[in-house]
Amino acid sequence: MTDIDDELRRALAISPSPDFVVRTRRHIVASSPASATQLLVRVRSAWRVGSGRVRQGYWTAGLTAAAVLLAALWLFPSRTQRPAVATIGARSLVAIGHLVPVPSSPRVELLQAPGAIASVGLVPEVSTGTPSHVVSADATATVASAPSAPIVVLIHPAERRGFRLLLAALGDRRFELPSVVDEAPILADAIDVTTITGPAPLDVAPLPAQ
Amino acid sequence: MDGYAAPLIVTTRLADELDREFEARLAESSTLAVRIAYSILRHREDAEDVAQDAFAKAHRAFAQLRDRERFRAWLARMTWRLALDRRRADRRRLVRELAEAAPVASSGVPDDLDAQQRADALWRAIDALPEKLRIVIVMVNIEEHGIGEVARLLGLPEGTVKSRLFEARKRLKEQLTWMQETSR
Repeated sequence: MTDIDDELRRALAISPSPDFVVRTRRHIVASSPASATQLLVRVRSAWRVGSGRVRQGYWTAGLTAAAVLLAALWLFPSRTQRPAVATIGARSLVAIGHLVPVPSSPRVELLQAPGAIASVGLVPEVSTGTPSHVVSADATATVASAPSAPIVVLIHPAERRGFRLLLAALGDRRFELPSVVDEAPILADAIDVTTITGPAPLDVAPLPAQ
Repeated sequence: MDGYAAPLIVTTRLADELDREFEARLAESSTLAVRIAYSILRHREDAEDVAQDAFAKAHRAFAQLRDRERFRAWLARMTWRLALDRRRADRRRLVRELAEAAPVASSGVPDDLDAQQRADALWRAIDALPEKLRIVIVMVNIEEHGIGEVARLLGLPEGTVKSRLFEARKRLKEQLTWMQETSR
């Protein structure tokens, strides 16, 4: 031990703030990866740590594969993210989110919300990357009759299984998501509020006349 | 039904155990991480920020850490690296800011070294050490680590730690003596 060590020891004798641990916990939560990734990490850790017990059985393998798939979808959304935009009259019908690039078009249903229009069928051709849309005659008529009504479009539950959902809003208006969620309790679990802040919609040509 | 739920229950339980274990490590290693970061940054809030980043990084990779007993060593090295990165970034920013600011007149060399000045001189001397010597002398003086503990934290043989510590002290002494003489 030398004078230099004494001096250095005194200089380094600082302690973390009393709330350091609490703040660090919050920081860890805030900077944690998405839940799907966490799930993946946890399944992997379970796989490693409890290998003797857990590794047996195909359920674990199935869960791991599902976690990997979810994590991949979560981590690389850009590959499947295709904003779908339709123009109905002077308004835009916008769906933003993670669509699935399947050859067959996902069925889209209108969610009944206060002031919303009853039924719109929207068929984005996400597989080609070129949005094209078919809007039913009924829907077009309804839209025309309520020019200021907001529209919410959801992919049909049967089609969007395993994927995060897209919400749509009309023009420059956007729904308050909680109220929409209240109207559709069955779909509520599939709605991720964060998707509303997704990429700007594509600018596409107006729909051809029906 | 139990057969379906069992893997999930096991997974959740293991994740909870990991979280609890990490919390314990966090509590016991906070001071170490903050002091290591402070030894480089010399700013308490910055040091805490860097220590938090190190813990967040450690938390993400905690499940993959095979030898949990190596956590402190792992954390120490990570904190050291992050603090160095932070200091480099701060210096780049400082250089930019100074280049844009008007020149400030020098206040001249003080006649005597008071405690604060001695500490400043010490840090300058430590900063002038090569990194492999610097980390050894800092680690020895954090939480009163012995040679063996520092060797474990740094993953070095004890003999190497001793020789580097000897060399670091020698250079610091020379440097401080020189600083004191030039300031008179």
